[in-house]
Order: sequence, then structure tokens, then C-alpha cells
Amino acid sequence: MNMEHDFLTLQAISKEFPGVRALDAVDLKVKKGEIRALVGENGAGKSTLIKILSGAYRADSGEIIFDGCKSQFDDPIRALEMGIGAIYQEFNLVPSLTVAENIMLGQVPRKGIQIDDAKMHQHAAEVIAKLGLTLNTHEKVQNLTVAQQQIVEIAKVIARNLRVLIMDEPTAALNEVETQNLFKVIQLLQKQGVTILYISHRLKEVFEIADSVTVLKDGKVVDTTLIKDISREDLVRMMIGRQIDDYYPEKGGSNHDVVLAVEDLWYKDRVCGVSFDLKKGEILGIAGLEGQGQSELVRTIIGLFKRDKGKIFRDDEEVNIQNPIDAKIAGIGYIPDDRKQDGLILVRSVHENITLPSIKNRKKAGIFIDFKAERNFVKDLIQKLSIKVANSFQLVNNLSGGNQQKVVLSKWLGTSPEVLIVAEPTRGIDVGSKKEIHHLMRDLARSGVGILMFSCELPELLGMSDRILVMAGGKIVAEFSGQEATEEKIMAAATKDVKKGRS
Amino acid sequence: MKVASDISSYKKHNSFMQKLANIGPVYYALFILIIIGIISQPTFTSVRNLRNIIITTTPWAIASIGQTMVLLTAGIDLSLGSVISLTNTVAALLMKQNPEMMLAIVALCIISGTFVGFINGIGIAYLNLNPFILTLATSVATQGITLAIMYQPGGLVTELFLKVSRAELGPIPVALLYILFFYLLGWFVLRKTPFGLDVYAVGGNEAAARLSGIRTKRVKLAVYTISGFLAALAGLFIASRIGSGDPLVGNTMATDTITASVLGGTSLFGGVGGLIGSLMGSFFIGTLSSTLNLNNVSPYIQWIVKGLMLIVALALDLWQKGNHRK
Repeated sequence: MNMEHDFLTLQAISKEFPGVRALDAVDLKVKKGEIRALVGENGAGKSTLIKILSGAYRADSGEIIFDGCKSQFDDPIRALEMGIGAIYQEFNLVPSLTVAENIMLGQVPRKGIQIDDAKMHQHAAEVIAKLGLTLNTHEKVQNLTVAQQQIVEIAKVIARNLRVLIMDEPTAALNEVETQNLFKVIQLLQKQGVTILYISHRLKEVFEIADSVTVLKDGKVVDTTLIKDISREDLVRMMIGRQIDDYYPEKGGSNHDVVLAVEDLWYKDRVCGVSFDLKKGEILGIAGLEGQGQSELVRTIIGLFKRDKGKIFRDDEEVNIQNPIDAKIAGIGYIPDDRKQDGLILVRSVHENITLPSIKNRKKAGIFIDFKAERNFVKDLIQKLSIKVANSFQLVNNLSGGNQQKVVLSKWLGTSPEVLIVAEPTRGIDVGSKKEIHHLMRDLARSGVGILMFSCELPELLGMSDRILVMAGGKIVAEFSGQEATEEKIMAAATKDVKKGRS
Repeated sequence: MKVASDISSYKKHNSFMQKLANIGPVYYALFILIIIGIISQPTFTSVRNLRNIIITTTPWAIASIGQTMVLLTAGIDLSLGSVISLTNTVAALLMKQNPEMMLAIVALCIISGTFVGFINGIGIAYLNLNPFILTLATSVATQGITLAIMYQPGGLVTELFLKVSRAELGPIPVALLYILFFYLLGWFVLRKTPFGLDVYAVGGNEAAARLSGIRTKRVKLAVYTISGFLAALAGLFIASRIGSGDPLVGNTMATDTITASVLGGTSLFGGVGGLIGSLMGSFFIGTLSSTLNLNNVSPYIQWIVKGLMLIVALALDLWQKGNHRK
């Protein structure tokens, strides 16, 4: 292995988004043929960093030196030509095209001016075979399961004979066997001199596959070290910057009044006969691998998806929720996982966003907006949640992720819900805000609100929940109390009988 | 392996019935229309009427190729009708004045139509303008230019130019050969060349296409330019068929070509569809139009019919998209 010189060097890379400094003078040196893991909490800047490397974003300042040349990748085409490619977290496939077409997209083999169909399919099949799998290369990607799509995504990058391969959570949708096959391929590529940047939340994988690890936190590099020189505990400490114990608010006792009960709920093949109840003042967590129906379950409860079957009870009374308006009337608030897409109107002010769901409660003479009441209402919430804004007429777009999430929270707190459904409460926000949001949620629960939450961050679920349900394949497969639940138990239950999710 | 068995179960889903549903409603519509035609007019199947249908259909068929390619990239070309009016008018007017310069006039028409498409492409691909609004704007401007050149029907094409649309090879009108030529070429480009795959990829998921190293801007520029070029040819064909120019002849062509493409299975959401459906869609519109003309249905009523047809096509597109999502 050729390890003597730095193959890829990043110098003082900075990138700012409105309101957030995503990367702050990041330095990174990677050797040829090295497998470097990048770890850090959500929002630490990993994704931004690799997007800059692969040309999807442009850095505000700093330099990239690749194979001895100063390089600035303005667009992905340029980066690919230089031999740098990435597997992104979001799927980047064309659903209406076939497996082979997706894998070979942008570099299809030609026969004169024609596409060489036979060669294209053969080549695609070879790459998939390398991964130890078989897929029909003529199948359209839209007909594949999430795991199969992930495989296509990986195959697509491997087919390019790259010199630097960036993988952002490549195993998110893979099972153990598929993951092991991927690792074999990664090691094979390493032998061929390919440099790999491997990003994962799963520290077990990092210790298994990486040579070295760089820890990012709040847009800065904390440290880079060889993997053999660090323990798992030290790595976690570096990532979060403090002991895990004092990270979550103390759990509270819930009482026995049921505020929300769901009975035999069905939605297509995604939610299959789910029943549970949520008690007053309780935080109930839903755990499970990604895409096992968690998000569909909550969307079905609030009527965003039309349920095929099942009953929903609020305070022991059946409610017929057909759409999110019914859910709001029934006192159920919903904090969606994608706040930018589903939670906020980014181009409007903090004030307008917060008042939106509850504006009808403060009317003057029946039809007019009561501006004075509105202002006080917003002011109170901004204070209560300590949202950092210049003033309440600042555009939501310009806030940091943490403050945006607080705006979403306050808009629903403004409706005084008795049930709050929170999807991914702290996705992509900094540690400080995370803590504040956790405390807010716990305070709400103490005041009697029943909270149903799901998160793909297991530590968060464990730290927050009074009770945890585990979902797999659209069903609830296990239930743990807050005391008995551990990461191992939940993972064991979640992976025991995994039916792959479909997109 | 588990993955493989998953796939094979999907294969079964893609059965004959689903294929039938995927073909697009245009085949059924065309079939019904032909039956109605045969029942209502004894002369429907006469050589003369069939030839008439083919010649009527030709400009729609040619312009629909461009529209389909644009739609496949998730764009839209509302300007092609005005381009048709422009080249039709310019050709007839100039040929009347300078019949000896026929070839130069044809070239001029083709260049100007292609230029309008090129402008659309630049605006949409490189300036990120909204395709709907931009092509609407260029459509209005082009229509204005056309009316400024000649505000009422007039002009006259040369004897030789008349033959372009009216010539026959034995029983076969040469127009049918144009259609076959352009559709074979278009089909080859879309289905057999890397460029065609790029067109589908851009419409199917533009971000993915870009990250795969496809020059998405060039692809978009190309499809709008092609659309302008083919619209110019369609306008010239109409000039040859009617022998003169009409500044409003392309009035409904943009909507008609969208109807033809969408009825034929090309999705307005991009990435899905193809030319064979568009050809059938064009024949549907051509047959409908020529049947209505033969029965002396007023052009205004025909507009109403065309508007309604497009709404039906849109509804079907939305419905099919829902079906795909499951």
C-alpha cells in the first residue's frame, strides 16, 4: 500500500449557509489507498464536506490539493473527471430508468453512435456481482426495494473506476450480509489503490473497516487518529464533547390516563396492524431501522395518509381523522422530520410561521387578525423557547437548523396540543440546541402532553423515552420500558425479522 | 439470494395486464375514433380520405416529436405553435414575392424557427427561467412578429413547393414517408443513443443526472432547439399543403402536441414516455380534426374539443403517476 504522501489535502475549508457556519477552517489529509472514516453528530458538517469534495457545493474559502495539484471542483462533472465520486445519503437514482441505465448513466458504452446495450447490461451485472449480489439489470429502479436501490447506488459509483470514493452512510438500508459484502468490495478497492472516505453513524462499522478516523464537531475537526489507537468510548466522547450521562433530561413519571390510542392501524403494506396507547405525560419512542414504517405510521395517524383500516382514540373517544385538519382539531400536533420541506414556510418570517396553525384563535371582530395579540403571542413563545432571532420578522430561511426546529415546535405549542407527534426531533441540528429541544420536550411531557416520537438516532430515543416500541416491516415487534431498554436489545429486536421496506 | 427472489416476484407484476395499462389510453381512443369514423362516414376507409388524414396529421406528428422530447426532460414548449405560424407565413409571403429563391426561403424559415427554440433552450437551461413562462413569452413575441409581417392570410407558395406535401409514390403519399423518417430517427435518438438516455435521466431526476456527470444544461438546450427546428418544418409543411400563409395557423398546435404526447403516455412530470405514443396521439388528433372538418364542425367548437381533450389527457397523466407511486 502506498501511504507515503498525502494524496488528498483539504486546507482551511469553510462554508457558510445563511445563519449556519457549516464548516469552519477544516483541514484534512488523506493518503492514497487509505480508508478514512468521518464521524460526528448530525450537523457536524460531514455531508457538507463531502459535497464540497465531490463538487456538489463550492467552498467559500480554502483549498483542495488533489494528487499534487490545486483543484477546485466547480461541478460534479469536473470532480468525476478527476476521479472523485460520491454515494450520497439521499438516493440519486432515476426511478424511471433501468438498473443498468442508472449504473452506467453518464458513461454508457457506445457502439458507433449507439448505446451498446449488451455491454451496458453486462458491465452493470459484473459490478453487481462484485458486490456478491444478483439484480435484474433490466428492472426499473422504481420497482426495487430500498435496499436494492442502495445497492444500485453503490454499484453506480464502483462502476466508475474512481480514485477517491466517498460513501455517506452506505449501509443505512443494508442488512448484515449485504454490509459484509460491501466491506469486501471496499477492501478490494483499497488494494487497487482507491482512497475511501467513509461516513457512518454506526461506529461498529467504522472500527471494522477504517484505517483512521477524523472526528468533526460543529463544523470543525476535533481530531484525526489511527483507528487502532482509539477506543470506542473515547471516540464517542470526542464526537459529543461530553459524557453521555448528563446529556438527556431526567425522565418523568407518566400517569395512567390514555391520551391517544391506536387500534389495528393499516396503511398499504407499510403499516400492518399497529396498536398502542400513549399515556398522559409520557414520551413514547418508536425505534427501528430506517424505513420500517415509522414515518408512515405517524403520517397515517394525523391523516396525511389515508388509513385502510383501524381506529384512533383521543381520551377514550374515537376520532375520525381524515386529514391533518381533523388531527389539529383533535388536539394532535405534528412536528415533521423534514422541517424545511414539511414544517416551515422558509421564505416567510418567524412571526408568520409561528402564528400559522393557531391564527384563528386570536381574531378580532371575528374576521380580522389581531396584530397586537399576535405579537405578544409570538414574543412569549420566542422567549419561552429561547429562539435566537434578531426580531420576529426575520425570515425563517436565515435561521440555523436548531432555531428553525424551535420555530416548528413553537408553532405547534401555540395550538396547545394534548398529543404531540415528533418525527426526528433533532435531525441536523447542533448539540446545544439539541439539548434545549430535549428539555423542552420533557417539560411539555411534565405539563401533561403525551409525546410520540421516532428518531433514527438510537441514543436519543433511549435518552428521551419512557417507553419504547420497536417497529420492523410495518409491525410493532417489541416493547421495552425506559429502564430495561438498551441499544443492543433494541437492535436485536429491530433486525430479527427485517422485511425490507419499499419506497 | 433474497434480492433475486424479490425481483422475480416483481417481474410477475409487470405482466400483460400492466403492459396493457401502460400502453397509454391513446390506442383505445384512436380505435374508438376509427370505429366512429367508419360507421358515420362510408367513405372513411377510402384511399382519398386516408391520404387526407395522413396529410392532415403530418404537421402534428412532426411537431409532436419535439414536444415529446421537451416533455421528457420535464419541460414544456408552448412556443412551437407560434413558430409554425411564423415559418408558414414567412414562406408563403416571400415565395410569392421571390419564387426563384425558394430554397433560400426554406432555409431562412428553418433557421428562424430553430433560433426561437435555441432562445428557449438558453433561457431555460442557462438562465434557469421557468419553461412554462419563457416559452409562453417567446410564443407571444413570435406571434407578434408573424402578425407584423402579415396580419391576414395571404401569400402564395411555388408550384414546386406544393409538391412537397402532395407528392405520391404510387399509392403512398410522400407525407407518410416524412412521418416514418422522422419517427424512426427520433426513436433511434431517444432509445438507442447516449443522448436519448440523458434526456430520460434529466426528466426522471435532474439532480441524479447532474451528479452522474451528465451535462444537463446541454441536454435541455438541445431538446428546445430540436423542438424549434421541427416546428419550423411543420410550418413549412402546412404552407405546402394549403398553398398559402396564415399567421394564426399554429394557434392550437402547442396544446395539440401536448395532448398528443400526453395521451400517448409521455408524462408531464418528465422521464416517462416515448415517441410511439406521440405518433398515435398525433394520428388521433389528425383523424379527429379531419373528421370534424368533413362534418363542417366550426373551428371554434373544435377549439373547445381540443381544450377538453387536453384536460382529459392531464387527468390521465396524473392518474397514471398515482398508479406508479402505488
